[in-house]
Amino acid sequence: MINIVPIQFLRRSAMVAMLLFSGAAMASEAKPEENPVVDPAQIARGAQAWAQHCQRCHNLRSPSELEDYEWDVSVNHMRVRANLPGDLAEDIKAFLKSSN
Amino acid sequence: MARLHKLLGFSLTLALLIGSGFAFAQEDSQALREDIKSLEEQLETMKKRLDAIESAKEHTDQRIETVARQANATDAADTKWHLAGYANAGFTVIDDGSDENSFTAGQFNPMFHFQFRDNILFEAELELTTTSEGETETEIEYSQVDYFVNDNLTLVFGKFLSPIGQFQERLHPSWINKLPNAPAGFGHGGAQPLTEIGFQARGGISAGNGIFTYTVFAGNGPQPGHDGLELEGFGNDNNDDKAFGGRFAFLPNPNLEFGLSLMTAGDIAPDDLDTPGDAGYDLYGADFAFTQGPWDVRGEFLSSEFDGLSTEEEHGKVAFWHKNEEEGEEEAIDIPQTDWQAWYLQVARQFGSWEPVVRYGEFELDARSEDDHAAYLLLSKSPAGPDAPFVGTEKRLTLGLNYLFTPSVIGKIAIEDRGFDDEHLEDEQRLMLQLSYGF
Repeated sequence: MINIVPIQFLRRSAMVAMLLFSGAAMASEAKPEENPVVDPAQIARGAQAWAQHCQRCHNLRSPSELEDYEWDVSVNHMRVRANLPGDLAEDIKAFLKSSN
Repeated sequence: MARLHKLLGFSLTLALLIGSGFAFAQEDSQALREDIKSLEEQLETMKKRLDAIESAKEHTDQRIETVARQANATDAADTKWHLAGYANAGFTVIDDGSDENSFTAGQFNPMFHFQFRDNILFEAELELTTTSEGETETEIEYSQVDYFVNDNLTLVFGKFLSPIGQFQERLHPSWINKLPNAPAGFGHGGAQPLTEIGFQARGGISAGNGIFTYTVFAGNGPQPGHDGLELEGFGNDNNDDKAFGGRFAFLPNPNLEFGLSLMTAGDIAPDDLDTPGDAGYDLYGADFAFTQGPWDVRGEFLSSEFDGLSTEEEHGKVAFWHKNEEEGEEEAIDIPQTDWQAWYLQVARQFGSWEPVVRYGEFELDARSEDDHAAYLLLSKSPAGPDAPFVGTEKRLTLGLNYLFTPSVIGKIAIEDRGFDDEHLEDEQRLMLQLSYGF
């Protein structure tokens, strides 16, 4: 008697192999790229400093009001007014620029 | 024969098996071909989907590269700039026995910030106002260059807002000020120095959970003018004496701030004026602020004294000859020996978009003798408008209610009671409405 490999098994195996291959190919293409500039710890410090120090004088304004380069300039103006230490000002800039 | 029968039977069976197997194989082959065709179609579909994803990703990558290139170009630019400022308009009703009420065109204060790389910032603020005569007045509130030496030291050159206290330097913009006007004795015509032209060193130093801040300055100092002693920045010093001062503050935490201010000017008399002694000016002050959540509580105290300016001394009365540039004549303006004191306490709390505010303050101008008092009355008749100096004490209570359309667009309504112990001034009540916009 001739032993014939079941065709269903071959069919299923071929389909599974094809699906696995295509899925792997798509997953490798969809891998997100990491932004090497973002420092989550600095942004967290900046968020706290923004909430605490900016409201010493005025109501808190939305980060979305200005572009990144405008926040660079505006925060430096506030740094002079409020006599903020420079590292604190940089933390606030990082938070605002990541949130606009 | 039997063997032949067995052989035939075996052959037939074998043939039948092979034949049926072959038939079976033919059926499976057909199914296999159909499966293969289906798989090929599915593979083709998936290939097309992959191609579409590849194309979309390539487009997205190009877009990201373009945006990143633009961002880098902006960040990499040597000069960045920012336009800010504030504006306000309103309506004021004054009840002092007259029927005075006015729409106020308010003021427009654009602020220009130009930054060169990371260390140099030029900032300037203009103030454009409409006078009671309908004319436009333009003033430079400040025009200064800031040099960031390091995290804890910034050098400032030019015309700057006086760092004495809190209100003048940080709280006077109309979208930040909780009420439509300044506290009694603060602002124009009060005890508070307004601006200075000179040099500052300032900064903040972290100390554990707190921050220590400092500002020290040297400038041309106050000078005599039509309204007496003028505490504004003058572009030309009238002598070789400079004014020195500063403010030192400690924040044990970001919600609490305590500050001390000092200022001294040894002699404000012009070099070309022969005076019997120095006309010195000294000031000291203290301030605090508590801001947490919806609460904003703050207060300031200023005390200053002026030795008076004289060319001759007679029974304590002093006289200063001043050349009136407009009329080309010299006229005597008395600047007596004077003490000023101003303080206020303010409480504000936000309830959603609503913010009730209460402020009480007093402003005292005390001439040191009857002759000084008389001289000051003469001075108070100068056409200085509503902020002309007076002798005595003003007690001012202001109740306000603000509505925050946005954090920087504020509608304000306030009622104010001003009481004077100077017999030449009537007590008055004011109703003030203001819409302010900080941009």
